[in-house]
Parts: sequence; C-alpha cells; structure tokens
Amino acid sequence: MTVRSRGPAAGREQRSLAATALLAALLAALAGAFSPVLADAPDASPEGTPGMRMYREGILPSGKKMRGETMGGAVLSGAMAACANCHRRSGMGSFEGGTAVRPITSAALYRPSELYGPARLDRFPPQAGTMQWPAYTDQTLARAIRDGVDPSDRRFDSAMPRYALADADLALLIAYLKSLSTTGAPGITEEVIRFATVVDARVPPERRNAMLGVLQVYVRIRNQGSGAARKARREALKDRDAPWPEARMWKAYRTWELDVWELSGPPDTWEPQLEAYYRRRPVFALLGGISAGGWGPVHRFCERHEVPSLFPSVDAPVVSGPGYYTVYFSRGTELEADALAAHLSAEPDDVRRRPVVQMYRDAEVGKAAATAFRKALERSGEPEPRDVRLPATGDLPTRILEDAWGGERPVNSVLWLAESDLRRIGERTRSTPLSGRIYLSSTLAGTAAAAAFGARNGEVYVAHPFALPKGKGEQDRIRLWLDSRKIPAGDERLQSNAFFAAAIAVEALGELLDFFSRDYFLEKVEHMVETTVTPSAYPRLSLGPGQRFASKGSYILRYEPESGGFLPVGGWIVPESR
Amino acid sequence: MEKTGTRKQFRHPSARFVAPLALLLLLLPAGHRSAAGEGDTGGRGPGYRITEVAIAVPDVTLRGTDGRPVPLRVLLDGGRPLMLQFVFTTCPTICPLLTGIAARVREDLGKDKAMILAISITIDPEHDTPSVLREYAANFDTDPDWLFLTGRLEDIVAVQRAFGSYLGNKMNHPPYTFLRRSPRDPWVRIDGIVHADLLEAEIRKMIGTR
Repeated sequence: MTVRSRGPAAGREQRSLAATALLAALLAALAGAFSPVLADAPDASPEGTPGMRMYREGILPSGKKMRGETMGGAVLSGAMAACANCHRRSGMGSFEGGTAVRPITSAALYRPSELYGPARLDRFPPQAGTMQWPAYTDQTLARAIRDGVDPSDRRFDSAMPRYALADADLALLIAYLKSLSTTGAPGITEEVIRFATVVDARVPPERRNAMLGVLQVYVRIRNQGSGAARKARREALKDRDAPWPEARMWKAYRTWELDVWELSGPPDTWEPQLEAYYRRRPVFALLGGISAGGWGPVHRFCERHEVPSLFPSVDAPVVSGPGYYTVYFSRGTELEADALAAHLSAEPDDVRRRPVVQMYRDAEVGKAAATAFRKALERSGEPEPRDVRLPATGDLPTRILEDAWGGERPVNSVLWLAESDLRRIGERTRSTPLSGRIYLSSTLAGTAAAAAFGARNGEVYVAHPFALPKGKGEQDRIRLWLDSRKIPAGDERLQSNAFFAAAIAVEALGELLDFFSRDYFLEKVEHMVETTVTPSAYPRLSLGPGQRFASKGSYILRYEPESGGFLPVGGWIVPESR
Repeated sequence: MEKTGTRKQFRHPSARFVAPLALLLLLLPAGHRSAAGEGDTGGRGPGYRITEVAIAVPDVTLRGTDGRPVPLRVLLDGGRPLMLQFVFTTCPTICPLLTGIAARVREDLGKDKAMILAISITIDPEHDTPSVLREYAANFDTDPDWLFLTGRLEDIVAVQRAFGSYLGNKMNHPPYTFLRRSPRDPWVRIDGIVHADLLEAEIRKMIGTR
C-alpha cells in the first residue's frame, strides 16, 4: 500500500470526536432551518419571481446565465450554478458524497449557528467551529455569496461557488432566500397530517377498491399500534424542551387522515372539482390515485399549489411540460412505445422491414400510446405505422382484422388495447389467421391476454415495463402483507402501487421530523426510492433530483403457447425518452 | 499496493438515525484533510490524499454519447494517460464540481490536454441515456479527448465496484478522481474535491510536462 498524504494523520479519537461534533452541528443547523408557522403558503406564480429564477434555474434577471466559481476552481453556469442545485428547492440543503450542504433558509441564516446548547461547545474540537457563525446580516450574506466568506471571516470549503453578482441581482436573490420555507405547509395542524387520494369515477369499482383498500388499511394501521404509542409519547413531551433529536421526533407525530377526492365527469371538469376539495380541506400531499384515462388536470393542480403527489396508478402520465410535484412509477404506455420501437430496430431485417399496424381506442390512453409509438418509430428511422383507430367505447368493428391484416405481406401489429378487446380479437383470429407478429401492452392488458391468440411460438409479444411475471408458487411480499390484514385480493399491481406510495410517504416523513416542508418532503422521496426495501411491481426504482419517473425500462416478453410462459427478448430495454 | 479497501467504511445503513452519522463518517477523510493544514496546498483549499490502487477493469462494453459501443478495456488500454471520474447528471452536489474541475484542468492544460484522455462514466445509466449525457456534456467545454459513457446498469455497477466506488446508492458516491499514466502503471486515486490547480499539477507530473 502506498499512501502519500499531505499532512499528519488525524488520530482515531480526534476523528470520532469530530464526527460527533459535525453530526451535532448538522442536526442543529437543520433544527434552526425551519420556522414552522402554521399558515397557508402563498401559491407561486407560474413563471416565478426573478429571485426564484436565479435560485432555482441559475438565470439572471437579464436572461443571462448565472456564473459561479468554486473554491476548487470549477466554473459553473446556468442550472449547474443555481443555488437549488445543492441547497435544493426547499433551501434545507443536502448531503452527498461526504459534502454537507448547509440549510440557507432565513431561519438558518439570520440567527447564530449554534450547536445545541452553549454547554456542549467545549466538548467539540476546533473543526466543529467551521459549522458555527454569528447571525448573517444582508451585508455579510452578500459577502458570502460574492466572496465565499462567512460572518466570522472564514472561507467556505471547496464546494461553494462565489458569484460575481450585480447589487440589484444580489438584492433580488437575498429577498428570495428570505422567503424560503418560511411558512408551514397546508394540510398540517398540531394534531393531524392530511392526505388525499384522487379517484377517477370512471374507474371500475373493483380496481378503485383495490387501490383504496390498501391505502385506507395502511393509514388505519399507521394511526393505531406504534402510532398510538408515538402519540402518547408526544403528548407527554409536549411542553418539555427535551434534547434533540428525541423531542423533535416525538413532536413530529401527527395522526394521518386520508380524504378520497372522487372526480366525476370528463377530465376537463376536474380542475374546478380539485380546487373545491382543496379549498374545503387542504392536504399536505396526494398519495396513490387512479385514473381510467389521463392525469393532466391532477398534474396541473399539483404544480399550481405545489402539492407533492406520490405514485398515482396512471397509464398515460404527463411526460412533457412543467412537472415537479408529481412522482410517477414510469412513463406508462409511452415507455412501452419507446421500448417497442427500440426492440423492433434491433430485430433482423425480415422482421423490422415489415409494415407496422397499430390499433387503439380513440380515448386518452390509446391515443397517447399510439402518438408516442409513431414518434418513437420516426426517431429510430423505422417505417411509419398505419393507424387503425377504433371507437372509444363499444363493440369492435367486424372487419377490423381484415382491414389490419388483409394484405398479402406479414405485418407487425401493435395492439394498444385492453384485455377484453384482445379476447374478442383473439376469437376472431381463428377465422382470419394473422400473419406476422402481435405486440401487446402489459400496462393496458396485463400478460394473460396473450393466451387469447391461437398463436404459434414467436408470434405474440408483450411490452412489459414491470418485474418479470411470477412463476407458479411464487408469492408477492405485498400479498402476504395484504392477506395478514384481511385485505381481499384485487389487481396485484394496483395494490402494490398503493402500498409503495404509502410506505414511501411514511419513510420520507420520518426523515422530515417536524420540518413539514413539501419541497423537503419531495427531496427526501428522491433520495430514498433507490434504497428502500419496500417491494414494488417494478424490477428497480430510482429517482434523483428532478427525476420524476422512477422506472425507466421495459421487457419485451415473447409468449410461449406450449408452456403458457413468457421469455424476455433482449433483456431490460432502457430506451431514449426524447 | 492497496486494493481499494474503503468500502467497509462507507457501508450504507438503513436506520434513520444511524444514516446521518454514517454519512458523516464520510467526512473523516475531510477531517483528515483539514488536519493536513493549508500550507501544503498553497492556500488552495484543504489538503488531499492520493492512493495507488489496484483495479481489475471488467470486460464490459459501455456506450458513448452517440450511442456507439465502447469496449472499456480497449479504451482504457489505448496507451494515453487517463483521468477518470464517476458522475451522474442529476447529482445535486459533487458531480457538477468534479466535472467542473475536470473542465477547468483541461482548459488550464492548454495544448497539453490532448495528451490525456478524460472519461466521465455515469453511475445513473438508466436516467443518463446517451442523449441525456450529451446534453450534460454540452455544459462543459468538451471535445473528442473527453468521453462521457453510459451502459447497462449491471455493467456500470461492475465498473464502479472495480474502482472501489460503489456504495449501493448513487446519491452517496465518493468524490474520487482516478489517474493512470499508462497500462503498465498503477491507477492513482485522488480523494475529495481537490483544487483544479493541484489536480493539474498531478496530471502534469504524470505526463511529464512540468
């Protein structure tokens, strides 16, 4: 081993003392970063203030990119130089790769940074001193941003950039910093944290109940048992100033309440309904949710009021335009479309050169899938597909198969259809045999529908952006949880989706303690999805700052009629998404 | 020779209150550097630590920003001195700094920058597809001597493991920069966000232009 070290090695004892001090300082910094005033947060205007654009996007009021040079000599500009990149939208800071980024809310900056209690100060080594400073003033804050020096004249470490900002721009930025996380989040009282789940009334009752049943039982269990014990502990500590972090943990306890926001009628009437629900009883966040079609109105509502929405079960999520507050499992049928196009481009020429026919119902999800597939084929230079658009509801036209497959050449058919439609088409293929391949959507139809086609090997494929189908005798961990709580079996994916949404909310809230900031909540969700032990219907889920689709790939499964099983072709496909 | 034996130290615990403590243990090298004093670095930030490490590069094929396959061993053994970092495009803190420092070093190397091959490998390959990496790279002054690579997740994990940089969670990856003079020389690992001037000096030492 060769270690060239630029200085004396620190002793083990000193290290552990330093670590303790740093931990204490960091926790103390967080403790001071949030001033919970229970009031409704004002809604941000869509374009934001100039200070907000500097903070979040690194764009100066002039429209130019903000530039900063770090102590380490890195020059960053634009979004990479934006304060929010490290300090995050909440201003609560972050911790990554050994670099601690301090909270910069006004509560954290404009009062002295202390370890928790002067009596403890003498126990920490000088290193901890860099975590302490007197309260900032506007002048010292300006100096910190421009010159990288804290109020006690110490230089920041190598990560913090210095920004050569004009006086007016700096004033705008400082004014914005003062507004960060200053008000408590809606949906929080001293006793209760309120959530809602959004249900599209068009969803059939068994699907709706599958999702709702899990959420409601989860919340009930949360409020009983260990929840009741926490509540008792909290009551006992209410008026005592017990030392951090125990007191904060107990004091963070809230009873969960879950409202069901049912949306009736066509989606263009949903937004006023959502507004009315929200006015009546504001919520901290939305959990789960289910739609029979698109999700645009709910997505936009969440952006407008900055309401986090965790993992709704939607087949056609909002994939373009502003999207910070809703976190989706995946891009749904659009992901399938991209994966199918990638799969086709990798097939031998005799397969990929065939004409492509796509069939879909003339409704939100079908149209979204077909549009995405057409675009994906175009991007990868494949032939344009022929569309067979079916009425939104009702029986399938009798000549549909002849229209689609009537030609002399084999075709690749992509059927963006639900299981019931596929079964009807499957029956008809007995009189009009197909020629070529059939591709199905697991999101829309599940995998069982593949059996509806009297096919030979190698003819029916399923785009499957989920974990591989379970073998016989394999049981879902979710299933065990549901069974033990006497929740009737329903659609497995919906149930596990709802479970995941609730479990992640619990984990993220546990990290917040009583800093009930919605942005901070989302930042915690971004961090924990990759490492959670909570099972899901997906092979792997992962987010990062600003990432809003947790699962990025899809299998293409080949149906094996003899065994009734499926074989993944070409592994897990992660297509380009643009 | 040290096989990159830091993994144990960086193990990722799940307990809520253990996590911040363990994360803080990551600061130990930082504390160590602080103890090194500023004199060693000419006032350019804290001291840093250089370790020779033995790395068995796995035989995997990654992809460049054009989507083309890049056999990693062939690339690394091309003969040129190397500078290699692990980053991801949505990284909140250290990746923009590491990448920014790499960019600064290349700028300061001037015409000598063509002597080294710079490589940034994403550790979030399912998000950082070739087109996403291409956009990220466009934030920096890149040229054919600086490659951004992605690949299958399993392969990327294998590469990170080989470099002792895999902690099971991309949000918690150590800020390392790896240098190697030639296939016959050992890899050298620089820990921490070292000042661009100091990294440049190390590189000049490596390529012999000082």
